[in-house]
Amino acid sequence: MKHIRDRRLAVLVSTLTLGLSVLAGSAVAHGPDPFLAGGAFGQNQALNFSWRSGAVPVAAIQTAIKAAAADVTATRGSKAATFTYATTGGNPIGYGLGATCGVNGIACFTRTAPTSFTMWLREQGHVFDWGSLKWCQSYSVPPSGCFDVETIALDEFGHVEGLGHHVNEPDESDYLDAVVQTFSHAKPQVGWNVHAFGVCDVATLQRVYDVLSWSAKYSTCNLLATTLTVAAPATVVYGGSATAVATLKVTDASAYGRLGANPLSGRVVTLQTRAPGTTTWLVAGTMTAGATAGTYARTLTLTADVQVRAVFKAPTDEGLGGSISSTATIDVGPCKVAPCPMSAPAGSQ
Amino acid sequence: MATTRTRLIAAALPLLAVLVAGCAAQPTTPSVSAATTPAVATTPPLTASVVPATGRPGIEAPPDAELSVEGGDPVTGRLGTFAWRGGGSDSPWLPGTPIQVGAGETLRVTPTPDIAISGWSALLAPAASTGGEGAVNAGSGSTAVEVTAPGAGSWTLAVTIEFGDLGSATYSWLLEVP
Repeated sequence: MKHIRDRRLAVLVSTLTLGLSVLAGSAVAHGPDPFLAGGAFGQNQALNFSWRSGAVPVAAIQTAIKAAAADVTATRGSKAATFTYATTGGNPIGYGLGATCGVNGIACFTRTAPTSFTMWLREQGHVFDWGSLKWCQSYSVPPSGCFDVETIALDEFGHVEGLGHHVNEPDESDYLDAVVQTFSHAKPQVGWNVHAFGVCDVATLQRVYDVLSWSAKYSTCNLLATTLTVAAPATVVYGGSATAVATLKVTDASAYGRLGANPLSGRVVTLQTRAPGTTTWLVAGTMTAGATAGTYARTLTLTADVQVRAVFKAPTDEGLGGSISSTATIDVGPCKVAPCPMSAPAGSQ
Repeated sequence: MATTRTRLIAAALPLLAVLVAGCAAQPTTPSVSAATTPAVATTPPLTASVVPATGRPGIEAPPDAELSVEGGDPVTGRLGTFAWRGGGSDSPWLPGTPIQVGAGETLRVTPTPDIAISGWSALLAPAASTGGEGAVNAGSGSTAVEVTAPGAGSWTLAVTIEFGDLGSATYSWLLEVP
């Protein structure tokens, strides 16, 4: 996952020096999955499916497809559409000879966002000119060369959401970063039985459908700069308290889709201070959750002028870059020399 | 450099194999080795077609893609995974359509019908590898697809072509390099 570290560094560098132009999330190698033309479904849209009349999957295949639908809900990491089996579901999933897949396709889909979709899986034993199809779920002990229905169906559900094929490194060392892949893998190839969206699937789902909450983690396949600001009172009486309030957001960039300007709650933001005219910052402490989403607060008791700034270090477990706020200055005054009324006793400075 | 006649023979092999399969009662071993695919359980009958079953190439389905070298007849690649106009189909790494080329020759891939290309990338793997293991980057770009033929041996060339908002498709060839 070296590329993730590289991207995080890139985010930091760009935040500080280059602006947003380098952060566009296009379909580049080992980046977020591309998104298909045709638009998206609604946020958290519930899509019900049923078995296509005359092409009902056998029981084991049904079970695996339903499991894949549950995998979508469990691992989408976003407000992407969900899929649920219902006997009256308006979106048919078929299995067998009637499949309209490409001549070499083991499974296929159509999508008409935001209204409907279809899915097909070829039948067990289907003869291609390159081999005969084996679904792992058709065996008590899945043989080498079989395809896992749950994995393949999850790939198709990903397509229905709008995900295009992940662009891998040539050696496919990042194959596990996505389920939606150009080349379906059979047992025992890498990723043949993965039952969760990969980080680069989730990255695109998040951009298109948004995250589930302001404290939800952002996919490590994402490349998101953050913006941190801090506000503090300009003056405070000697010995009085001043509360600095920081606001942390995803930087508002069009390339980020729905994620731009999202408030970021539940993160670790620290407050640093220094005396005016000095260069060394000291950590005042971790800021606590503020009154609104994405805000953080820390109160200082002051007897001298101080400069403050907030710092958000890039986390290691999500795809956010670090950021540092601009500096705010808090003056202790207007009385600067003791004795001050309602402040320090004479001789205390 | 391969002769034109050699290329013609190579190009005709799949067609000949299809005809044989269609006329014979017994299944015929494909001209592409079954050992190149991980999904093969049996030696299947040959029912080769390189166009999708779902519609006219370039309209309801992705276009065909032809690989050609200077002086040789083009050979249509085997269509694998694609996404096209609101639909798509998934395939594993496929053995490609055979073609004989010379080491170092420039291989040109063109869609048929000619639909504008917005991007492409090519992978090259030893034909004997299963599932494309050992594949290396054989090139990429945003305009004409041109790949330099590898050295002597049998190789699978998989080219993924992007067609803007229309979609993308992956095509495979088996390169026989004397």
